Amino acid sequence: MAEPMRDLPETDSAELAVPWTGGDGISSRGVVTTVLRHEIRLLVGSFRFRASAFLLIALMALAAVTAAARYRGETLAQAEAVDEYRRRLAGTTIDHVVETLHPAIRPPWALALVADGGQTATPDVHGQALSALIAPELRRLHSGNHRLPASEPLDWLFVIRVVLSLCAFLLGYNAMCGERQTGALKLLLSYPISRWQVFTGKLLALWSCLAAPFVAGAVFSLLIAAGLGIPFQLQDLVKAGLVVLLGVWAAAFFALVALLVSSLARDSATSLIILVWLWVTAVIVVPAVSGLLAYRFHPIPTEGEIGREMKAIDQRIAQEYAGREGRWRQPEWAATDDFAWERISAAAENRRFRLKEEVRRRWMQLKVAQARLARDLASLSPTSLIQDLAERLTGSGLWRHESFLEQARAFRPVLAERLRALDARDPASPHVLFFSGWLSQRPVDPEEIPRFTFRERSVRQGLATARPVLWLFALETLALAAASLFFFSRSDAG
Amino acid sequence: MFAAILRKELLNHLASFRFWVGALLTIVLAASSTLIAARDYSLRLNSYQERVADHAKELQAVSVYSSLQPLVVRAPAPLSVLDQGFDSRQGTEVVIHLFSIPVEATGGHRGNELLTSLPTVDLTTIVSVVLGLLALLLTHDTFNGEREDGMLRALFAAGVTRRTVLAGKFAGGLLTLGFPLALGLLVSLALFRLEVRVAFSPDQWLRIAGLVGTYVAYLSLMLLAGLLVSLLTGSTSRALAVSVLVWFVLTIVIPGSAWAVASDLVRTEEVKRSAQREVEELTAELERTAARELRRDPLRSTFSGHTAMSFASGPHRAVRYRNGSPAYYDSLAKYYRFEVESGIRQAARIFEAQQRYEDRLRSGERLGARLAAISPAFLLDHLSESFSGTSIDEYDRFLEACRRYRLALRDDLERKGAFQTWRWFTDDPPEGSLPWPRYLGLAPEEVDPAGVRPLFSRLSEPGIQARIRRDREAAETDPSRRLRLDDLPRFSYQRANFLAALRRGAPEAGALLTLNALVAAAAWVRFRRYDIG
Repeated sequence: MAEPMRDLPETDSAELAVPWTGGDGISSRGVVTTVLRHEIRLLVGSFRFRASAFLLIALMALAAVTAAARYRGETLAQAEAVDEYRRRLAGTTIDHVVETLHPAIRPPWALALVADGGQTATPDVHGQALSALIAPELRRLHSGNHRLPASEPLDWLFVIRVVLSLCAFLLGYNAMCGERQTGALKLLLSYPISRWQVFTGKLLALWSCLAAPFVAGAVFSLLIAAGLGIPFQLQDLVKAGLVVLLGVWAAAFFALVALLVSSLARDSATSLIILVWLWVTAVIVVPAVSGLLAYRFHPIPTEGEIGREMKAIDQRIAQEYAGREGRWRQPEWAATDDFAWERISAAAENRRFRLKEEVRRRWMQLKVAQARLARDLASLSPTSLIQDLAERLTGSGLWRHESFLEQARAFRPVLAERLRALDARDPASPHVLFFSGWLSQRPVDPEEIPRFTFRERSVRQGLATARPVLWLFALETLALAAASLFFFSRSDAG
Repeated sequence: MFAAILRKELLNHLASFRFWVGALLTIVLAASSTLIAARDYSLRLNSYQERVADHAKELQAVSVYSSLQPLVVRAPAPLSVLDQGFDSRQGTEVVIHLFSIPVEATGGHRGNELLTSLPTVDLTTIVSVVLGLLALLLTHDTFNGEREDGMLRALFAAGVTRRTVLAGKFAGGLLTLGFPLALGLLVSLALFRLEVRVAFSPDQWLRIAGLVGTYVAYLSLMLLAGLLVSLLTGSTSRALAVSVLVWFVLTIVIPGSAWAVASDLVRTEEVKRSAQREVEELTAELERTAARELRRDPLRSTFSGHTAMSFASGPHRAVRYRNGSPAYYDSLAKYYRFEVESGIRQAARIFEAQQRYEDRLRSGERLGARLAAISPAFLLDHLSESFSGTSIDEYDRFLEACRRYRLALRDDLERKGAFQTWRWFTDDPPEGSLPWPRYLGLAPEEVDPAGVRPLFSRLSEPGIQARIRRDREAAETDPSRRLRLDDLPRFSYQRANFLAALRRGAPEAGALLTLNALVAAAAWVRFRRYDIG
């Protein structure tokens, strides 16, 4: 089916021919540059490019605006929580402070516009009391709007995975087969130039047309976010820079896919149909099926099952302590035998807490393992691999969540050590650790209570974690480049 | 001739590569998503049944009205297997009591929050994304392609009218899409039947019919859009690129951006904080007035021979006293009447404050819906959630039913005089109560206020302790101390039936049908003057 390419300007073969008909010894670079310029002119003049560039820049700008609003909301919610904690500590005693939930707060993610990584759905405060009678809480301070449907976060990664990939396919689907249909490719190859030069010129043109609006969108997006109040640190900017580089690399990858399919397809329509189905498979099918498989093969216990485990622990404690637990007397009576009953009760409660904490911890580990399996399976799709890579580089996603939980849990022993030391200074305290009513009644200076500070992953750590995935993606890109060049070299020029 | 064109279109489509890829993806995704969704539904159903049974047992042990706090649980929607909607994302349990008006449900099996960054798939998503795209891919070259190869000219030369051609091509496309849609649906329903082993009710079958109707209306719109693009563009290649771009913007970009804007740009945090502060103040005010009222009578505020020996408290102001004197209980009855009346008034004020936050959330929801309304994918989602009973409105209906039930419970308790009697706070019988001084051979009035504590501590003497334990055990097992709950109002919540779902989804259904009519009219107008080459 003859198919005139009405959306593109006609090929100006006279101009195209100038560099290699004008003299001897034309350099490869000259040929590539000429093809590149020609291709760029064709692409930039097309509606597809303008639509793609608009989509890329508009969505990245919107990501910045929404991320800044989210950041503001989270900052406000966290400031409120910190104030409330400060109020609770004011004028309190050592005895009372052990029943206070000490919040370990994960600060708002400044790079949410770059790689949200599901941060908006995961808990950002882990409240822990030292008393074994108070269960820890893990919740989200800024909960968002539960009346809205679940949707993927709008960030640069969404733009790279979903928009940039489709734009690459829309711009590149007819790069080879379209010109074969119109005869332009045959004409081009009738000149004394090699195919790899044509391929390189086309690849660079397509890549530039994708990378330029993406980089412009990234810069614009960062400026908007900074203008709207996200306080970027140098480290954040370096991480954002790495994701920009990754996006540029991804643009090359998607361009190679488009060129490969375009070389193999018999016509432009078939090429685009194949590319679109590839896109659906990579962006929607593989990640969705990965989630389903992880759910199936790595199930996590339900809330009901966890509740039953907790009840079993209660029964176990009751058996182990045979009714000697839970005996708390009036302090003046208890002092007569140096709090013997109360110490046993405290030991029982501490053991109960440790066992229950173990269940909670295992539950969270299973959730993380399920999510990691889903992510690993999804990495079969290059778009998900790119997401994984970006999250590793920036320290977002599962990495940030896990790191937060680890750091928050490590904070409890620090608190316990400080309260133990404070209580030990009071000889009048029964020292039944850490149970309200059985500790020092002295007031405590809130400044003496340690505060939790979350440590984000550094750029160096991010690069180290991302290294294996970087290699994998590099290998995939090289293999794709080789395959694209190979099939283009072997393809019929028409 | 119509049949011939339809047949030709059907056979052409069925022989195409694009159809088979789309059909294969549809079936693979439908099977895998339903398998998981059906297991998830089974889990949620088991959890629902366990919670209901456990709570029924707990209710049987209730001995005072203040502890009568029925737990109502929302059953999972069976059709959530086809359209997950909000069903598993919202809480399922509400404790009904007089001191608060339900505004949200808690608990339930909500899955793994760490998996939210991965896309979730159900039959509606498959129709929206895969079959919607397939519709455009099938029709993008219908007219321009046939004009290029001369087929259209040959067709008209045979005397076929334009209306017949347009109708035949549209019907052929729709019938083609019917195959993967029917197969996907059948696979889903069969897997649900195998996994869950629950038969659908007639109303649920009607809802499934509604879902199918919605899917067909959506696919018809996408087919018509494909035909229109084919009529408006010169080349098949360009038509395809435009179709893909249109599909991408309508299905992915607009809904995603609309929800991002609605979620982040409608500020809820300030309203939430302000509502929370107001609720805290109102709660503190209730605590203060209650404490003041409790102290008003010295009998209640000082430890004496009248004071109850045993006191237990539970959530939402549940209390149970034992071994107090009749005078003490009379005084407590006055106090609890005051507490309940104040609590009910305060609950209404707290509800008002909480509603302000809910209203803000609703305004975010409305903004998102307005922005996304031009996307057929949004209309499809909204309408299919209505039919499957998994919409946010269904959750609201559940909460509304909880609020009605609370009022019914309050009326029932009022009718029984529960707030006026001792039974609100004690299961000690009105006649023959046993104040603690009786264990020491004293009447409550005989206890010297200065010597209460040493006297009370004598209760831990082994002989007295044994009597107390024996009496306590007898009280625990005494069936006459349990509340009779045969006439307790029953909680009733039925999901909206098919007609109600249809009424609720009428705006979206109307919009979908209007869009169909508009695009069909545009295609017809364009096709009447179409140059066949």
